[in-house]
Amino acid sequence: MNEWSVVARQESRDLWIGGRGPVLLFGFSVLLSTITYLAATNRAMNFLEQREAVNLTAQVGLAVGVLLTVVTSADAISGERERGTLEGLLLTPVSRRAIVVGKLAAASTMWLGCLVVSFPYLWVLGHGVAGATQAAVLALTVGTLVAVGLGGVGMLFSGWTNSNKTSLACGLLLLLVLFAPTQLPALPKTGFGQLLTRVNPIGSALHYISQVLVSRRPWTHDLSYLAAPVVVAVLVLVVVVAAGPRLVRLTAGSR
Amino acid sequence: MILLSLIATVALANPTITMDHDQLTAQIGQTLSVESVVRSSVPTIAHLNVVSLDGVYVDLEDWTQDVTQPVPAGPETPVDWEFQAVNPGHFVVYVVLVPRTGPLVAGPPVRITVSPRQTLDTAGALPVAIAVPAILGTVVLAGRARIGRRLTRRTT
Repeated sequence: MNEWSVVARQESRDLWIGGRGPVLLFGFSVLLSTITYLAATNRAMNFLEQREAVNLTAQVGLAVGVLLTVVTSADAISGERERGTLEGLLLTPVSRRAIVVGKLAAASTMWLGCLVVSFPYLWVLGHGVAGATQAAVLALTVGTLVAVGLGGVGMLFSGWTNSNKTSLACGLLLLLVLFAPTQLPALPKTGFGQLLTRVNPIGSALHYISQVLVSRRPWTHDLSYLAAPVVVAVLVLVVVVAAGPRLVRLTAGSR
Repeated sequence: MILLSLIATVALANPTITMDHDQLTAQIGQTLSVESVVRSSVPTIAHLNVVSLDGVYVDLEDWTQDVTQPVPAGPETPVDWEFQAVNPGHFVVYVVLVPRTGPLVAGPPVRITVSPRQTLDTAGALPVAIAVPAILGTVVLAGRARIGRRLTRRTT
């Protein structure tokens, strides 16, 4: 078995058995339940097409799922430093690169958990209009790209900082900066706005999902919008693998 | 002289507008298209408006994004309008021509009946909305209880 997969398995066990994974997932499910119930019963939200409700749930699921992945990965190294458990990990016969890759893989299971939890909601909102399957496939493909990319960025923050608070704050600030432009409704319609949407991995992913789900465009029509999530995911993975040995140190920034 | 007076009459005549429908029915959320034909000797601006006959507040921006279109001078200029029925009830859609000078010219009304539609299955949403957090909450509590028992066993 690969070294990184051993680390990933152990980290996933720590996250899901007795860790905070199930608690975060419970909170996630309460949020999706509220949105689903409101979308299904509230007159103000239930006035348009069924696909719009599916799109809303898929987008909230992606946004919050990515947030939880970033929170988990931002705790991965700086959290161990703060708890004083990094020494024990460094003594194990596993390379530092394998530790970083394994921890990122384990943090990504948080996204997979969110994805599995969001399936019933997408199904109940989208059945009958073929929106549920489409939304699930979109969340799996596009969401995984965004979650891995930004989860990797959270891991880099975690490796570069000694304090867990700093790394979490950096991760949350990054997400806030990336999410804020997506709340401007007319943004993709202007030239500069379209550029801003295309370079933003979250903005472009949400735009692509809504184009396929609501505007019923073919999968290939707006595929260029996925360039940013793909580039960020690949780039971050390369940086995490390359800088792995430097990230896993007892003190951040030390030689 | 007669020819000149005819030209003057045509040039000074008020613009006119006709619609390709006078009545439409739709389901809420449905996108509708109507075509208007403008006859005008001068460039004008065509403006679409929606009025509720039931007294429901109509937010025009919700119905359509293209409420105003410039219309060049011409004997028959087609102008297409696309809008989404976002409220249930009875509505009138009409187009007003706004020339640079002179009075406004309103087109004939298009009466639209929008029927409501329960788009989502509320009966199916509630069990899922309750069951998923309940299952996850039970898993969390069971996990915590198991860890608590293990810690108690270790300390004793």
